[in-house]
Amino acid sequence: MIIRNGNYTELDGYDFALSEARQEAPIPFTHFILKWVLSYPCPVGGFALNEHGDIIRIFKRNEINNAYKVVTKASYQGQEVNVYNFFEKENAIGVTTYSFVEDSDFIKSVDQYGVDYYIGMVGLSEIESIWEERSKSEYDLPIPDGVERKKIITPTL
Amino acid sequence: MKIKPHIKSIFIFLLTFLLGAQTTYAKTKVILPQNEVVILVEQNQNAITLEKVVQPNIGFLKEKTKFVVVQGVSAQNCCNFSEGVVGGLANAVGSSKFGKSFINSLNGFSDDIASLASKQGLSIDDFKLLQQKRYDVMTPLEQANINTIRNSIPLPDGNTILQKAIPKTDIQKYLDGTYNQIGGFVTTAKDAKHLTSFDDIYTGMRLDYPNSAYSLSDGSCGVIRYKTTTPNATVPKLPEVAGDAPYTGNGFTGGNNGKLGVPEWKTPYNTPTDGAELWEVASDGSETLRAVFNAAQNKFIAVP
Repeated sequence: MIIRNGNYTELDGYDFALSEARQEAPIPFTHFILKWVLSYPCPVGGFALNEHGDIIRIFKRNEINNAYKVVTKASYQGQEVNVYNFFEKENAIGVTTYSFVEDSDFIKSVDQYGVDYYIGMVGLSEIESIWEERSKSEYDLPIPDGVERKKIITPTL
Repeated sequence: MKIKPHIKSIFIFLLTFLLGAQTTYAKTKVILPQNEVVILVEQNQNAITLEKVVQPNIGFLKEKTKFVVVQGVSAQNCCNFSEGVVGGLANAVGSSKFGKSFINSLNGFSDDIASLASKQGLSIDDFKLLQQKRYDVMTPLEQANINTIRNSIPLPDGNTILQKAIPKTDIQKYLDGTYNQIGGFVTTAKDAKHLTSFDDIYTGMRLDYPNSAYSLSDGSCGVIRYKTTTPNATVPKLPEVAGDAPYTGNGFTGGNNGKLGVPEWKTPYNTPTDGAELWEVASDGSETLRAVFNAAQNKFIAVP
């Protein structure tokens, strides 16, 4: 199971993770990086494995014409939590929440803004539901046609 | 300036003067004319409180080691000024402010990490492995540990010396006035002091990102050390701040080849305050001051 958080774009009918190419100059960013995140070979041409193990392709900013933001959430003990990863070996998901969850072994931590929150790993069998929430990205680009605003993910066991 | 060869004498004079003057003056004041330093000392002023007055007024040091040992001053008359103050006196007569020797005198991340990691039950090697791990694949305990360490690093303010690495090709753009603002991914100068050469900076700050304008074959990069009135710095973390490897999103650069990374910050592009310095750092670790920011002209002025 792949947990998605961040910006995505659709290219030639396939979804790719979308991020800005880093630059150091005080000018608007000029390039996007598209990353193939699925386990099978990327079906779209021009993508290559880089030195960091990612399958990416760099596009000029104006070559990308759609984008959407994804946040993955789950329901655990009737409470909505954010999901940040799937741990295959443990068959569990990593979750975070700003609300205390009773009867859990979540670890209390503090985020980068100084706010307390809780982090935990929860077995899939304890999860009631996992879904993606899709919305407009921070970029001035339309959401691609056909993207459901909320999509239930069926845990792959 | 011609004052530099005489600074030791000036310093000894000042020490003698201020100790002798402790019962004479009613107000502490630092005066920095063009080429001399005068310190008026209030009654019963001791070295520690005097230092607090002197420190913010005279900037920073270069070649501090020349002045650490003050010969000819008896123990009875010796003020134990910190290196920063001593260096500051050196700087007051015309040295650069943010050179390597001064930055090295500051307490930084590389000095603190053993203690910070230990509190989380980690060795430095454990931490080096953790810093390379992307935040969104860490276990809850790993996230909690790295959060604790990262949150212990204070938020930069207007007195913090920040540091921004720039590709060699961009140095000219700051020199010719095309660029005059600084921001994006930055660190504090003290927290990056262990990265002394261009190669260190390249691997420690992970400048090998996709589409990078840096190349080790350039032999050098630019480093801007600066203050800004309102840094508005935040910790770049996943998923709020996205990015591709080698970006870790855990608040630290994932130092490579055994290099300790640095706590990274992200800021808007800010105008530096007067005196910001643009250095060129070479692969052999040498650094050359290339320009100093002039706030009145709102640009970096090349150093001849």
